[in-house]
Amino acid sequence: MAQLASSMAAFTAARGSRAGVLFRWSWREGMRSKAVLLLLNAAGVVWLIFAILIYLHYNLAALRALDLDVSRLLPIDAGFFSAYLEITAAIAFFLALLAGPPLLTRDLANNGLALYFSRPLSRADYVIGKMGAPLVLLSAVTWAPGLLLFFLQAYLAGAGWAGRNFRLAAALFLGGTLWAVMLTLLAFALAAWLKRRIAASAAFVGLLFIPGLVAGVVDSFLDGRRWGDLISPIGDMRIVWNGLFGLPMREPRIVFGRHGVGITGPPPAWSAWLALAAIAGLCLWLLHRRLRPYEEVRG
Amino acid sequence: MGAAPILELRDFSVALGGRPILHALTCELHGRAVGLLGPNGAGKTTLIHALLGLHRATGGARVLGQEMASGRCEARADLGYMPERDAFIAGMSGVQFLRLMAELSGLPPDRALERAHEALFHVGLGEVRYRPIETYSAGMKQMAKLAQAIVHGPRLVFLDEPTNALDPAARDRMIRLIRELRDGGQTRLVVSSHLLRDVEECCDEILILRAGRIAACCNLEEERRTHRKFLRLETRGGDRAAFMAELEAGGCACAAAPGERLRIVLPAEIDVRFVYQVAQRHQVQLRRLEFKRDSLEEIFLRAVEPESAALAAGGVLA
Repeated sequence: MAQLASSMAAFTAARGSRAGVLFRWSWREGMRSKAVLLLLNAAGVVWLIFAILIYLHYNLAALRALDLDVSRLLPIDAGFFSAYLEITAAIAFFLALLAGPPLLTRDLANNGLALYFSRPLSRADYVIGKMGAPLVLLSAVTWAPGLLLFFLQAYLAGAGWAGRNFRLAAALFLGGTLWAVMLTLLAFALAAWLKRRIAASAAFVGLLFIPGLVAGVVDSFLDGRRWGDLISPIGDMRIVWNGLFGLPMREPRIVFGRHGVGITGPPPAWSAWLALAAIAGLCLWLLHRRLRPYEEVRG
Repeated sequence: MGAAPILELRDFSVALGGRPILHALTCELHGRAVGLLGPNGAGKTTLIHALLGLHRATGGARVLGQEMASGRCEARADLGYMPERDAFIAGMSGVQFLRLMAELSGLPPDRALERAHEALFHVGLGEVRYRPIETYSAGMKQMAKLAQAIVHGPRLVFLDEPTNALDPAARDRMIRLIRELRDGGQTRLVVSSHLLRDVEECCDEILILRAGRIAACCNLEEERRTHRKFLRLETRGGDRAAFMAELEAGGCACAAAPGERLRIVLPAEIDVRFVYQVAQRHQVQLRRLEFKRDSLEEIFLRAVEPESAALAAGGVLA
């Protein structure tokens, strides 16, 4: 048996670098998956299609060659960028599903947290380090390439366009970041709660889609605004995105409900922000409760 | 005992889920290897966890001279911990697992990789270091836990039940590794175990807990020296009564046991030769003689069961 080298002096690293170590390892872990690479490629294809659409708007020769009319192309406006964000958000969802829960369940299923927290690593370091990788990954498919599209459009449209449409860049950044944070928080909170990858992944899918169905049922009992939409994270996010891009909410319409004639419409943007904040708060609380090296049994 | 203490506790208390587990522990431990003993539920693991900062505690605790309350996170860079339960990160090879642990303890990546290989070879897992850690046997996982506890070269290592789930050969190997660590002189150890033999073979100081309180805290060698020597005899023939009377007159305590057996307690100044001489004078054949110094088991039993130990002692001396 080889003798362990006698130079066992402990090394000391900067405090913040522990989260960096976890980020690096989590990133490597995420990138090992072929499915993740496939989704990143899909996001690249989507970006390319949108970039080509912008390019065609400003290239008459190309339009003539393709026998296309500018009026038949999508207008490059808030709706264009909002559509890009919605498509990439769907890809981000699958990325979060694949890359999020395993980062935690691998540690939790085998009592790994005791090994982490017996080292100079706080719970905040752990969460930040672990969340960093999916956050960067999701940003890399949502707002980051979205901003590249914005700059491409600004370059081709000429001076003044970027200044007049700065709101779109802010909306891309905020909307994309918010979605990435929500997806990561939800994936992590469910993983911390359920501790098993399959259960956490199933719950993640369920939590994002089932509330949408429940919202429909709730709304059918409400004759005014569709407050039920607030229980669906996707519904909340759509309202927030519409607000950020300055897109009109779906028109309120007259309905004939159980209590007579009424007006229905989506809930106001502030309520969607509040609902998202509540979901994020709940996720953080779950993480705080579950990410412990050992369970304390109440006596 | 002149060395700086590795652990200093002052009114150190821990409550979990509102239930007090450790009650105002106060002690100083100096040993190269400290054995943490106690019956199940005595609070051994809770004490280790609290010293690592995994549980909230009140009172004062200094580990390697550092106040744990103030610099808890940073102080852990000098500590290693081998948990009692299975603990690993699935989906990694042995080398990756140890490298990650070393990096988290503060080693730069290239040095961490080097140390991961060294530590795995040191614990005898060199040949399987590229295998996924979840495919290791229970004994291998135990060794991997030890390796991750020492990979960063800590000054103090907490080993919680290190011989759990090990077959006799693996246990011997683990004990040998612990002794090597202790004798290396750079790492000090706290070994928690309910197996007295493990502690007896590795440790020079013991802290015995009972129901969350300190039942005994002593240097094992000194404790043994200060206690008397016990003899168990099996005799045949001769004048047994006179034999016992002369032993008692010489300062020994004797007790007759069923059959022709005797139990004798020799004072420190009397040598066992005295027993032979008296037996020869009274024509008593000594068929069996077990010379037994105070074992850790006796120290432990005295500490955790004072009433029963006193009764046992009464039985011997009556």
